[in-house]
Amino acid sequence: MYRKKGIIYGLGITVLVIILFIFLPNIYNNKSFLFNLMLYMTLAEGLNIIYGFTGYLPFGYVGFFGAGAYSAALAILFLHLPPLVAVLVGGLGAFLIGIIFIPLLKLSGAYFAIANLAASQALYYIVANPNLEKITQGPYGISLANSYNPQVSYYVMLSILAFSMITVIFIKFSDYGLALLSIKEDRVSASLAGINVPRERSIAWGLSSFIAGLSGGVYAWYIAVFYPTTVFSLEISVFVIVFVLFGGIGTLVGPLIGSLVLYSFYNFIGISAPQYFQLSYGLLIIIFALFIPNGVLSIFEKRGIHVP
Amino acid sequence: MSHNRNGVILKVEGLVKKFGNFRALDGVSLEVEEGKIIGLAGPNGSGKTTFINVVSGVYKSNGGRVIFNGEDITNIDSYKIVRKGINRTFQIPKPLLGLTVEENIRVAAVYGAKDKRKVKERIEYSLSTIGLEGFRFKKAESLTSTQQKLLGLGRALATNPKLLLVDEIAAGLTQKELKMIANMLLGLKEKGVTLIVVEHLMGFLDMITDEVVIMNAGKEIFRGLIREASNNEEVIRVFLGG
Repeated sequence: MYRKKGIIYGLGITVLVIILFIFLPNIYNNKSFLFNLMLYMTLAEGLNIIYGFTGYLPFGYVGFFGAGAYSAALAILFLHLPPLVAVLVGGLGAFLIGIIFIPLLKLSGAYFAIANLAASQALYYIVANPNLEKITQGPYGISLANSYNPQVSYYVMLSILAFSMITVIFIKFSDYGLALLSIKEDRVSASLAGINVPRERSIAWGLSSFIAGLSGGVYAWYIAVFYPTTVFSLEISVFVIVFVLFGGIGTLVGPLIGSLVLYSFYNFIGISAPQYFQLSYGLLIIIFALFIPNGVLSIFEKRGIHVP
Repeated sequence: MSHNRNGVILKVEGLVKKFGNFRALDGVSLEVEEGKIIGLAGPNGSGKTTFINVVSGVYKSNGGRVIFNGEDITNIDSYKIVRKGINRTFQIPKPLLGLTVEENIRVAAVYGAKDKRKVKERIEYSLSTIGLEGFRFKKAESLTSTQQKLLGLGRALATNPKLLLVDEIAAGLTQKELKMIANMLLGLKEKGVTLIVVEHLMGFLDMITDEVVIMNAGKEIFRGLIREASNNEEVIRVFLGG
């Protein structure tokens, strides 16, 4: 009963988000802001799958995003695939990288976070290597000017956001979600509950990397010109982690709220008072870490209000 | 097809577990007949819990074999061992603290049992056996230490074990709680579950076991009735020194 209710509420929220992002461009014309907001919401949901449900904090999450962006861009440039298919290739490219990185999951805690960070930096250095200019165009960036289509890519981004939300809903309200939470709590206990820990966490890892790759692919299509420094920027990982923590990990709505509030704040301060940006942003994060360490949604949970 | 010869459900042959140069298990051999409760006692560091950890797949052994129901299960992953019908509890309970009591049991019922049907029945059976039906929606972290021990037992039962390894469940319990747990374990025996119970409290073992095995320094030094153990010279020497 609880699960059915949760799925219905979750799908209702997803429909609401879709309607909002369809109509928002009519009343707020900064479409770039709306696109980036959807992008961060999607990445936050994707990171939530691996961090919120299994406890693995991937500091190098941006590596999947960058791999997705480059996979999609190279699919357009060399295979002449339509951008929509190339976005899917972006997801699969990141998924493949995820499979290669599966051994990292044998580590835990800070060791995993650091190893994942190093792995994503290794990807960056491979892509940005001037010797690979003929393939990746090295540090000089990629141009997809011929495929530029901000209108269609906006709605593709929205579809990927919806996909990421639906994935989180079905994880959260399923036995698979329980298995992932068990792994997060205690791997030995989870194993003694009959859970194949390496298999289940690898599936979550794959889903998480696939969503980041799809996001990277559509981002590449949307901005059309980008550099390795753009799509492998550690700032993206840090932002996404902070957004998820701010909203509340392991929930559907938390990553959305975190992205909405903090990304809006980032834009507001970044434009109106850029000299105070880092100071005010840092202060805000410290205040929230001190007073609501479990995220905004924990305030509702404490009052007995269950938000999916 | 797996089978158990002469009613022997578990056969352990020359089991060795080393931590560096220290041999926590030094060639332990043991046969357990189906439907029995075997007590496993011995001083601290004798290898009792290590034995459970190796049989349940939490630790990999350095030698020897573990045969369950006629099948060699030595060093296979613990989730596979659970699905074959062995589960265990921990001396220090390890429930999934952030999950509710029912979720703790549900996840074990779904993933741990070979037969994926009747999940609901197994959840209800486990909850009623451990007497925590009234706490099903409480988070495991809000339970008392005794309730957490019971939950550990319930999680193990939800996987439908044929052999249950119980690690020092009686430690720190009141007399009333000891009797309750003893009745619970005897009830499981009646339902056909074989039990190996690691325990320091000999009085508790006397209440429930068919036989006891006394270990010292990673080896079996005695096997027999508990009242015979108290007359055995080596057992006396190990427990009292000298």
